[in-house]
Amino acid sequence: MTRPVEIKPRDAGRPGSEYENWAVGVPFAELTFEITPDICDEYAVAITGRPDGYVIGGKRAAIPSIFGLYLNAVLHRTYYPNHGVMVDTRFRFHRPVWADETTWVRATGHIKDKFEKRGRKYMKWSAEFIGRDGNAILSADTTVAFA
Amino acid sequence: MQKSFTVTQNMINAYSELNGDDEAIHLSQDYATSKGFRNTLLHGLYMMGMACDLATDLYGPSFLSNGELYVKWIAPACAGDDLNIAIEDDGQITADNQLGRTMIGHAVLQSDRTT
Repeated sequence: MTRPVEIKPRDAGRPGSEYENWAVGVPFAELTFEITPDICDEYAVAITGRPDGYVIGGKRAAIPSIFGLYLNAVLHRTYYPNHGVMVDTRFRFHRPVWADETTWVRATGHIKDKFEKRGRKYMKWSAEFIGRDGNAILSADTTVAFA
Repeated sequence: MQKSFTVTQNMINAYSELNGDDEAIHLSQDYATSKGFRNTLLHGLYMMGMACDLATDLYGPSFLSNGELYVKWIAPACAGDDLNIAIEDDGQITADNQLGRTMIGHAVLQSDRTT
């Protein structure tokens, strides 16, 4: 079982990563974790107020945005948080996460672009969440702004 | 389809506990107001999750293996806000509080994309 807090770097005294150090195109450190039934249930309760999820062919599926719980950990394993603000994100779902099973996930990603606009610094980065069979579960593209 | 609710600190706390985000901007009213916000901030990905739930209801099970969800946050939603998150039949997503729009986006089936 992997609670999101277990894979999110926490070190209040550690400085955040700086714009100059963001390397476009270089793969992030890989991250692996497990999405367990209890996390699926807790997430469903938080989002919908009930743990039902969705039923497909008799199997219970998690709310697919459950990867939002783990998204920033993929970035922050390589680039420590620097008080960024999420501007937008796009999730592409490739297959369900079954809510009654444990799903092993390998996540990777990279910075797609960085630029400055009107005095703010922006980072566009992507993440890919891949199952044990090597097939993608979710692809995400996110923009973050920094003061 | 839509969801309307008042954002409570308990909701924010529960989501923070779940996703491991212990930043003061979500948990401390004093800190949030010192940074110029009306109150503690609701997590943007929480709002996205609610939009995702609406999109899954709209498109059905195929959304879980063929869906695409895009959201853009344009203004903060805070504890105490009355929030309404809606999805239209064409997948357009909006979230509004008592002050105006806080999030926009869309949900589509990837197989239906024309561009």
